[in-house]
Amino acid sequence: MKTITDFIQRLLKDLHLDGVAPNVQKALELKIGAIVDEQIESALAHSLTEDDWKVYDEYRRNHPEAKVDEAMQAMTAHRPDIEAVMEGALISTYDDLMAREEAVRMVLDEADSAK
Amino acid sequence: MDPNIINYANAEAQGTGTQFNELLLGEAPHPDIATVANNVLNRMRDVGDGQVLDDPRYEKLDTDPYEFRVPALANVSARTGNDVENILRLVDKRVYESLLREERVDFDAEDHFSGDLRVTRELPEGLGRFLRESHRLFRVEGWRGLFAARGQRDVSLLGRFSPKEQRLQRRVEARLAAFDPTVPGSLDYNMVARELARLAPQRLLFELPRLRTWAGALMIPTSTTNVLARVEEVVGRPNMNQASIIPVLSYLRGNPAHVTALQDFYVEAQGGDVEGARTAFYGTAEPGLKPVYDAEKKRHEDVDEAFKSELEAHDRARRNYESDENGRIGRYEEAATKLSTVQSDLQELLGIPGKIASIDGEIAALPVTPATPPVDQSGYRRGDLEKEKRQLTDRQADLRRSVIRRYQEYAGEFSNEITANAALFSNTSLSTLDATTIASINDTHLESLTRMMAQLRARKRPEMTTLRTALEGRDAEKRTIEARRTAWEEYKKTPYEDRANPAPATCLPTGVTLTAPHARLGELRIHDFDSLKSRHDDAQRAFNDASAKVADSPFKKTPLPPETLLYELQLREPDLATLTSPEKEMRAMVRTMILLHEARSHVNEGATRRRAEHIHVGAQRLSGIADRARGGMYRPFDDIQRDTFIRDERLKGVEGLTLKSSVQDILTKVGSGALNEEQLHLYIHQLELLAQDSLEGANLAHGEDVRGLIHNCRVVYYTLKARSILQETGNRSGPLDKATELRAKILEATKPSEASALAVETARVATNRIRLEKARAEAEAEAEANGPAHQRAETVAKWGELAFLVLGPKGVFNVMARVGQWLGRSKTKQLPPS
Repeated sequence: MKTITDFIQRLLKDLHLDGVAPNVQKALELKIGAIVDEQIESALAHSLTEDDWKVYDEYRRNHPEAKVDEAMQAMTAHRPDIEAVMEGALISTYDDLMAREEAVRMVLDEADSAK
Repeated sequence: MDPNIINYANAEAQGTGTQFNELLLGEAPHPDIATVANNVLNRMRDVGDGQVLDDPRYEKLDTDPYEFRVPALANVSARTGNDVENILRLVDKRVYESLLREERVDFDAEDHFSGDLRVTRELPEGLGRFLRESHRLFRVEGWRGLFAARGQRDVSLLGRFSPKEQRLQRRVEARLAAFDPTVPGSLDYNMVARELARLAPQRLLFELPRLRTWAGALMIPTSTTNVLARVEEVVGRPNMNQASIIPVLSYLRGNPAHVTALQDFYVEAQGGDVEGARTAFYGTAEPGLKPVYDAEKKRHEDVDEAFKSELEAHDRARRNYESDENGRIGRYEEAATKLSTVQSDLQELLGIPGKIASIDGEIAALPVTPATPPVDQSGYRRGDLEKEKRQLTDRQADLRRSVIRRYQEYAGEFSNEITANAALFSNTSLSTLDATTIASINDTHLESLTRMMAQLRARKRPEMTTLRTALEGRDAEKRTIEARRTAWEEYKKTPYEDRANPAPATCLPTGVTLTAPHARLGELRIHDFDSLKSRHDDAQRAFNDASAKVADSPFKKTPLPPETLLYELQLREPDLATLTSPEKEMRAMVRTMILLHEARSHVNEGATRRRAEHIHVGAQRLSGIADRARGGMYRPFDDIQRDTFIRDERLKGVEGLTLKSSVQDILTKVGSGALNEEQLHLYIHQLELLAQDSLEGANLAHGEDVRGLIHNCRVVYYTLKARSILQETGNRSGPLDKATELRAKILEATKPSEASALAVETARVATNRIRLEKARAEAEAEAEANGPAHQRAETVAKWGELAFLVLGPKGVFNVMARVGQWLGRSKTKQLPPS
């Protein structure tokens, strides 16, 4: 199954950044990861309710040995519509980055033609 | 408490003893009971005035003054610690409320004053008598009389009536406040009468004395009196007791300072004689100043009209004289012209015999018998000559007749020469013109005609000179009249107190005399009403222009009558006596206008910040006029800013916000940097003060507007607060308690029904972010515990990883499929060729 790493790699490839030096690629992966993080966190912040956090707290209380991720999963599973929100956030991130890349490319093309 | 009193009260409540109304009305024998009753009535009055009962149980009862009396009694008794509460508990509350409802219906009924009360049949005897007594007092004097008769202090009636009646009353109050007796049409009497007729009868009874006073004392037109008579007819209670004039004024104008100014002014005008001033002002013995001024103005207008008539008559006489003289003198020229015609005709006539003789000679030279053909031109020539001769003969006859006719026409009028030569110019003489006659005529009469024409023209010249002299004399007379009129205009500009009897020879029209102005006109202090009025008109036009530029300007609908301004000017600007320059007058005028508009904006129910802004715009235009006049800066609007809306320098930062500003408007202000959190906090505080003022001033509509703005400001304020907490805490964990506290505060500040979605949403997002940060921190701590390598892998995209976990295979497929679509599009359209 695809993971966030696959998603970032796909992004790098579509941005034609998959051939850069390894250390630069790593930095780009972290940067894109942060952007994805920000988008998903914003989506969650606007979607979650007090009841959702009650579910989270309940899970953490009943399963003290479980990881945070499990509790988060339990919380979002309680809200199926959040899946669509997250899906939209990921797609928006991809679209946003590609749109930025397009814009940069157009500017560069114009600069080239001006020369 | 004396047990006897308790027993007495209990007995009253059970309807078995003496009069319960005595207890309530303070007529009970025991002073403690009277005190309790007074407290009860005072409490009722307070509630009626809009104050909130201390006890929250009765909070809602404020909205209906008919429903609060029993709880109010209970409240007072509880506070005084006596057993009256027990008494009241024994009263069947349902019966009492039923009574109150019926009472209300009964008040609205037209037969209120004649019908028996229907409300007492189920009541304890004492209570019924109390109510009957109340109704009796209502019939006589209304609420005011009821409480005054019981030794209570005066009461505000506003809170005693239903909301519908209160609205009507406020409307009437606004109309009466805008009423100016000096301005015809400033009060729509029919409208007021209709509104009054819709009020409860007892309210109408209270209004009548005021209207009657104004109608009688301040010279309201007769038609108004008729309207009032109709109102009285509706009520069926003519000739009510009239309140004293000063409280009436105070009540009408809504401004005690104004009434004081009125009093002072007229007292001063009467040389300190208070009663005289009152009499003068209210017009029973001597008319007020306004009629005196009007009479003086009429005298001025009469003189102006006399000047106008005199000048017009003079012009007319000059025109006629000139026309007549020109006609007479013109006849000389006319005669000379005709003589010149005679002369030319005569000359032609004298030439004709020679021409005929020449023709005759030529005919004689022609052969007597024409030659034989083929062609002999002499026959044709003879014919032509004979034809020409006939024409000359005809012309000769015409000229002769013409000349003779002219001579006959002018023989009597012209010189003796014509008469002397009449024989020579006779038909006979002219018919037998021969060389001798022609020579004689040539020698004598043509020259004679020339001399006659010269004489005619010589006679014309002195006539023309005489005419010019006469016209110049008449023009000088006109200049004298105009000089007198100029002197009259100057006379009108002098202060009234400096005016002596005007000299007729120097400043009045011919035949007009005028005594000195009325002595009281000096009291007006404004030396030139007309001049002031024209300047005021300029200012008013500028003001109207400015207001017209503002959409929906209320002033377009209700322009301020100039007369009102003038009248108010006298009353509000006592230092006008020292004014010597137009600039100062203008300044006083501008200030007065502003004060008036300010006052009206307070009076009108719809007074809003927008209206204040309109005033400000117009006032700025006016200040421009004043500035130009005095060559400096004059800003008389600080008072308005301070007194109406902008109470604090710190509020200048929110200029542009109105009472109708939405949350988004305020957010825009915040976004533009015009408003920060602290300023908003202060602003809310100032608005609260303003709302309090409006509500205390019974300007409820305005108060509601302010409340609406306060609510919107609070929403934005707490939104800002939430944002600032987030910024302050960043992404660190820990501020959960603070956020929770904030959220509670928001919910507390904005009642659930009024809660702003924006504020709540902001608080919710803030809380979520904090919780997410906390969860992330915990996850990172878990990862740390599992080793550095694992941690690094996990923190590439913490929430991204979570998203893929949550989405599952189907969601991930959706995402990657969408990504593929983008990639395909990018390849075809955007990617450059490699």
